[in-house]
Amino acid sequence: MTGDVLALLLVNGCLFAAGAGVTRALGAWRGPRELLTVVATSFLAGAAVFGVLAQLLYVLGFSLSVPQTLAICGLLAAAGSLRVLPASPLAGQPLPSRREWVAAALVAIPLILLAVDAVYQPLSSWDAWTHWTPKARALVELDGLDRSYFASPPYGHWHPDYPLLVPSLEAVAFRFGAGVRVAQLEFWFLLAAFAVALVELLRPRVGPLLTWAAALALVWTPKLGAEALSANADMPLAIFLVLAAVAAWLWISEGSMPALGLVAVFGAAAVATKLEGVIEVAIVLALAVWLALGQSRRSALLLAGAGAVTLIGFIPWRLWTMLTGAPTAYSASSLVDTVEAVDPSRVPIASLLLLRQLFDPAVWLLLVPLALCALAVGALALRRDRVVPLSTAVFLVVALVTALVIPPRSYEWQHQYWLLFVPAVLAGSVLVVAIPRRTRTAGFVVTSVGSLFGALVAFYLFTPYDFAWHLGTSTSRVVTPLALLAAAFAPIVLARASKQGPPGRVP
Amino acid sequence: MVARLTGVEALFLAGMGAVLGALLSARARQWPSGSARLSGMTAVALATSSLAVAPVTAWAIVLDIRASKQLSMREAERFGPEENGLDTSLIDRVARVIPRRATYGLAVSDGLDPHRASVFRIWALAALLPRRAVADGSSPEWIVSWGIPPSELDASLTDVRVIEPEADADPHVYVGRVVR
Repeated sequence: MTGDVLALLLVNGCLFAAGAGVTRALGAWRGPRELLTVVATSFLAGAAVFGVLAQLLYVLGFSLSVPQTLAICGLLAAAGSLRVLPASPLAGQPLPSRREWVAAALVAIPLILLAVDAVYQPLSSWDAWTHWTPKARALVELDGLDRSYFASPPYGHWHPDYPLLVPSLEAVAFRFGAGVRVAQLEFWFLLAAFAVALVELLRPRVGPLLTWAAALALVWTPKLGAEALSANADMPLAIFLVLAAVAAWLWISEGSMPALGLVAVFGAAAVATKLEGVIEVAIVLALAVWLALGQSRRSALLLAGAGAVTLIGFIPWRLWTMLTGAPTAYSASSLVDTVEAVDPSRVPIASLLLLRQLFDPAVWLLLVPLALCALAVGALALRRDRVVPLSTAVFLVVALVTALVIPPRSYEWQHQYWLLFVPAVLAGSVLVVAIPRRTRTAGFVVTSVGSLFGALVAFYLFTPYDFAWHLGTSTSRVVTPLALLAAAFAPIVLARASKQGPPGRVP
Repeated sequence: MVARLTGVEALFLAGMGAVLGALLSARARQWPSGSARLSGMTAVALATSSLAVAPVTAWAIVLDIRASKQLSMREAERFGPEENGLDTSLIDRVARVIPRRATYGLAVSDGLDPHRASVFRIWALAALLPRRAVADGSSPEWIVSWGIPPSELDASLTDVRVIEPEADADPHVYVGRVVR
């Protein structure tokens, strides 16, 4: 067990070195002191770039053996000396106060407990043991992406069309000698780094109170720990998507060039993590480009360019699956059949079940309701009227009642559900229209979350799988990016509302 | 790992934490404006709503660690299929019969529960690597059949091994080389 953990530490050390090179090349830091302020962001950038590159190299026929992995990480680390973008430190941190150390200790407690849990946790989540981890083992066992397995119909259970970032990260751990038992620890590294990266990126901009409040709320939310330890791809997708969105916000509000680079890095990683990542990144970045267009055409164009770069995480992989004829659940022919057989009654059922999962206090506590309150506070600070508070209150009551009343496996429509669905749609629509008219940052978040929610409902509407099975096995996981996005932006919106921190260009 | 509270209990505890946090933050500090106070109250409520449930969350993790620690390395790695009713030692014994790099076809009796049949197929794909499964209709070198005797298969087999499951109710697994 100790050897497995040490092997995983070595892997993550390599990813950190690679990420430090990437962030330095992007101009995020100049010397060791500045690197200390973006340690977690650099680690996540390393995991993101390595994952995207690994997928690309597997497609090109590489095996990603230990020497190849070390060479890639070494090259990425050495890229730091190139300085592609002019240096503009991403996060200058004042020293933490005594109160902040207390907050940091409170953040560390659940993370330490989760780390121990991750070491012993069995591989129990269906998706993890049926395809994510077996694909990683196969990459090692077969010494690369062998099309006679990965593109073969008997291996359809592995979802061969799903991208390879997560199996690549697990495969490199196996290559270095870590066993399946500690696979979850890799996901813990991503979660812990995400919490610290949020502190790194937000603290200098929104102040310590708002930053630590969000970090505490996130790490103590039971769902995040459970989702990270499940070893599914949903948590990494959420992490990369949210960091891409935060980086886009930094680019728009500060014109930070390193942040623009990170949009491409984290966006590409999100796209290479799960199929729906393409749609989700497209939604978030399209809305960010729209926000940037209000600033300047140059800002919007460069952001759109970074968005185009994210396709590196998708196009080569998609080409490989098409050229090899890998089994896919979302083929053009099956989509036509699905569209023809579409049942509109799926929309309210899927919507209410997603709402139920997103607001379930047993797992999310009050993270999502309070993040929504933060958006409303952000809107109220600029224009005091009754529309936003009233709609927020109605939406919250309906969402919480839905979470408490509807059974988690309720796939049959019942007439009384209209009493929840209609007010939820009305109040939600009012919020998506009213908040962006008052504050652009909160508007960006509410339209992003609303659009992501709509995209998820569309996935279920057109699903090629059995509708009840698909809902039952996935709704609890796929809402993770929505909750994380709302929670991560809560301090930003609140800072704008209270005028704390240095004023950005986004009102 | 999920806090062992019902939705109502979690809502009550987190709600109390949020209200207390918001009220304390409103009183404990001089805020420069009404908006700043409202923002501060919301942020503190966000943190205290989670912290109010923190002891339960921490205890749930500790219980989870205790339970997981009981599992051996082998049990932890096979937890998924075993929890879904598959005796994974069946596939281990199949792996001892089929040479590495050989191809095989999987056949499962229609009489078996479809979910367990699916678990059998899925676990076999991973556990039998680098042996390669081939599609129905292709000509594999070996056939692994769960619940279908060789006499009822389309192909004729030689060197047939019968693998008996530990659970008496389960049918046998047959592994045989296809006669060409």
